Amino acid sequence: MEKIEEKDAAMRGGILPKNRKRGRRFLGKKTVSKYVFVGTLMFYPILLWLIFYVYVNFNSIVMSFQNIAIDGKTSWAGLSNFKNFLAKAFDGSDQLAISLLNTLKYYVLTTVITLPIYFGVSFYFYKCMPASRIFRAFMMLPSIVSGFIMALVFKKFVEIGLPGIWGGITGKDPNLFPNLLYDPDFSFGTILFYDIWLSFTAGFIYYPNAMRNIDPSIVESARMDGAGYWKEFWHITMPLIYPTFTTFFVLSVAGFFGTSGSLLLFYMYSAPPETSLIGYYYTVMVLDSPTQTGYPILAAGGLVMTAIAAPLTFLVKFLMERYGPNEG
Amino acid sequence: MRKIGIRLRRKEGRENKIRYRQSAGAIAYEVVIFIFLTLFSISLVLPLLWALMTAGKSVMEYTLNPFGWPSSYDFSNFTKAWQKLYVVVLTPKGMVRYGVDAMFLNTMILSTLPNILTVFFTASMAYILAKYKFIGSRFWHELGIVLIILPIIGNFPSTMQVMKQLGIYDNMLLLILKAPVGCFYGMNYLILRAMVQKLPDAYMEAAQIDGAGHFTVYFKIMLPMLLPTCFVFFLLSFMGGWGDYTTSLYWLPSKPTLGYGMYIFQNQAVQYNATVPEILCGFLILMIPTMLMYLVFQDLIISKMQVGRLKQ
Repeated sequence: MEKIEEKDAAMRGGILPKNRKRGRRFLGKKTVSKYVFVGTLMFYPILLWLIFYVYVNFNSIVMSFQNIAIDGKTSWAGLSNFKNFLAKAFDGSDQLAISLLNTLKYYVLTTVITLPIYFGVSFYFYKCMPASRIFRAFMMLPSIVSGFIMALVFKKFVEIGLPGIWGGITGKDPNLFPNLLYDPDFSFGTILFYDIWLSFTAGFIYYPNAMRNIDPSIVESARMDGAGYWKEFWHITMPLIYPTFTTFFVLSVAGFFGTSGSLLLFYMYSAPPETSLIGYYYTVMVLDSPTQTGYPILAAGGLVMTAIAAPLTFLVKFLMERYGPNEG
Repeated sequence: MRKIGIRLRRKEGRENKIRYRQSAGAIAYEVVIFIFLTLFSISLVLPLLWALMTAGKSVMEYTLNPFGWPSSYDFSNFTKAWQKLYVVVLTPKGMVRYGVDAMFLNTMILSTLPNILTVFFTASMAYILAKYKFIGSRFWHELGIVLIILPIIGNFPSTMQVMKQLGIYDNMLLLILKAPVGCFYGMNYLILRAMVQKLPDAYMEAAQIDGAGHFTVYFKIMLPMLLPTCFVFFLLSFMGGWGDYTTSLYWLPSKPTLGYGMYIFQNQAVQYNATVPEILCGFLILMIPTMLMYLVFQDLIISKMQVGRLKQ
């Protein structure tokens, strides 16, 4: 027993002296070397995290209670930044309020539209249905083809192609066709369509890969019992890929307030107000501003949104894990 | 509806793909998805095809026939794009003009070095937190899980302020060194950790019994086993970084990349007297390296993209 203990301790990085008392750890040479190794490789990432996560967020909290003058001098602002942010958020005509509402609509519509399509197509790939291998190769194209090309072509198609097609079908002047990227009635829907169109590809890669890990014997026995595609998908596939689905869904909830879509790509800093999303709003307010005077309100708003999004994200995670299907 | 339980196809190594021709609903499902994927794939290929066709047109031909085939392919547009593609930026030394060659160099540096650092430290953290038990090991792993899902919103102003305070803003070297931040709380970390957990401990133990230290075990045995996945992450980051314009737009305005140059080029085409064919030539030039990389490594990339549960 003593020899096994010594070998065990040696593997864990410490040599037990023969007169040691039970339960007391001895810092041997191997333990030291282990901690040197761990410390060496962990030191730099943790230092970066402390600076660019902990300090940055601490600075954001402090900033939310400050006023910053044009010359950069700061002064105590109390809760005025929070009040101003909330006033703007509930002022229907303010760009911030419009951005928040657009973000909510964007998120709901994107989720409702994309999820059924993700699962439907992923199941198709998983079952190696006709031409699935060829289609899968196409799914990676948006990762390879520059986002500029996709955006520019889409832009030109909307500006030139669609009016031409419409004019050809209706016989009317193509110039009468609205510019879908700038017309207030259509611009938000156009951006939403573009983002959904390009977002499909990620889901069509991850979900089939998760489905491939399902034990084939489960599928085979279900088939022998007469289960069709729907029953197989609902009772076998979905429960077994539920962890992957939960991961992506929770991350999408967490990223809700950070959404900026492809607005920067299409419009740079000049997106039509009705298309603005909260992530884009923040980007423009920081990058297109010559001073930091507007930063404190943005920081205060960030805290408010974090206070909403963080518990919501953990609640969604808890509910999905608690009430989701069991793998067993 | 009568179900016909006939096994249509079973291939070696593809047991999951057992399919039975079943009800009309199942057939309808296949047809609908097939049509959807066909249309979707066409919609992905068409932009590329249109860019290729248009890049070879003259201005007149593009104006008269924007969506048709070129009558003859004019390769001079590529030369014109190469010459016209430049960016003038304000640097500490004054206004500097960056041509394609300088932007190419910046792009190579920013696509390669930060990603190598990030992938290395992500693999290291995944290995340490998966294989080693030490004071705080469980804390760091669980913290990473929490940080993945904890949304922090609106810290961009603070980040900009801190970057300027620390002198990282508009400093390429420091920006590269900053890249590994978040290496223990991202999806890549989770994927690598899952892979490390599958690596047998026997390799470590055998090497340690033979006298190898921890560094030797990691660098000579374990890290090489993780290299295929690390390489895929590097490839994906490289391909994403190659067309990236946001790094120059947000943090490095005096070191424009090709992506940033193209972003300005197409947004301010009038200023550059650039035509749509020339702009598209620029995009195609930008796209060639990533297309080649994907064509060579596509199977490897797709096979490694797996995501599991966020475990605590």
